[in-house]
Amino acid sequence: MTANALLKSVAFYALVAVIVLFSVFPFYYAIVTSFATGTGLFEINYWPKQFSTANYEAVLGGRTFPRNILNSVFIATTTVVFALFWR
Amino acid sequence: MTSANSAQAGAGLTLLQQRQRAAFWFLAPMLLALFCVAAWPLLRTVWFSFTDTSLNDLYGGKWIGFDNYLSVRTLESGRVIYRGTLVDPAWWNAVWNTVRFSVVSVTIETVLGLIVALVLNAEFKGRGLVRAAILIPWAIPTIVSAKMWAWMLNDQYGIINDILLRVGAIDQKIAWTANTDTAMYAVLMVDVWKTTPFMALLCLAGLQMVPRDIYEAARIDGVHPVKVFFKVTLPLIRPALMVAVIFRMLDALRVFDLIYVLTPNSAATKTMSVISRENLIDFDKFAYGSAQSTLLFVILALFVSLYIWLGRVDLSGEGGK
Repeated sequence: MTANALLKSVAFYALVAVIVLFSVFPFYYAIVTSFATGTGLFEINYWPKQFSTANYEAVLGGRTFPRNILNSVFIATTTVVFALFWR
Repeated sequence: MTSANSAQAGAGLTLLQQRQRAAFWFLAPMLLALFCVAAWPLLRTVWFSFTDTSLNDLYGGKWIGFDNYLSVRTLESGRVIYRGTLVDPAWWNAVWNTVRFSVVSVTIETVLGLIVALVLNAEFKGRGLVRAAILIPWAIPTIVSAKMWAWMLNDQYGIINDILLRVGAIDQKIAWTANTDTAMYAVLMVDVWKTTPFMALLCLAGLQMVPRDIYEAARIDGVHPVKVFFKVTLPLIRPALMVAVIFRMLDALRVFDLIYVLTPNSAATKTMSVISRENLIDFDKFAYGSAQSTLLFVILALFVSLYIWLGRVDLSGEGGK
């Protein structure tokens, strides 16, 4: 009976692991890729091999992206405020 | 007339009328906003579909009746020429794509969402963390996830091909999004990944409404878990499930961004929204595109009415038991 219960809980946690892997993996892969540079982009790495923040520096140091973030924050704030208080 | 009634009549209005009037004034701003953002654009699109408006001259369209939908012209030689959206094979291809996409994706998402919801409803360590992890696909904007998946599905550098090759599921790399045979699978894959969390969330909300003591009673009676699911859980969460399915169905029938980003200009995946946008903007057939948008609206309305109608029939059948 205990062996049966153990098997059941192993199967259950395996299912949980599959679900989490399925939903998180593309996001994880995007993060891993974001730290790659140059030809590293065209290699398929399952684990972070390079760690370069060059892409982040390029995006955040660029002319438009900080403004884009500001725009998003502005729109999110105003719509929430209006939806909450403007009745 | 009783004296109480005449006293109210003296005040001008009955209590009910007063309340109705107050309710109307409370509703008025919202009705106005709804008219401006929902009814007006919709009516304007319907109007455009009966004119020969072009994108360059939005106010110069002339009324041409149903010609955008179907026009029949008999030539002098006796040949009859049909034109319009209703005889356009590209349009019917798009309709078929949309229906196929919606039915398949919503079915898979409902089943997977229910499984995920059942898992999340059970008590185990780290449940909060898993719940948060599940929501990641849903929290990422569609454009971003479509681009992300486009890269993962890339035929040369994509990780999906790499995984499948390693596992041995495929022999050679597949151009998922470019190949007309696999484009629909690619789109379905991404949509299932993206929207299963939404279904799981709605199913979970339904599951948490089920009182625990019912399960306890079933366990004491020694009912098999599978039977408990089909005889107890499923009927009880059915109303929540029906609502979840209709939300998803509406969303899937008007799918646009995912397909527009992932497989642009592929006849294998072009949906009604994509083709009508193409006519509206790219091909400068504004009125024609409007006609397709109007048809999209009509088809959606029919689908939803049918669904609600059939759903009600089922519900009354259950109530009769």
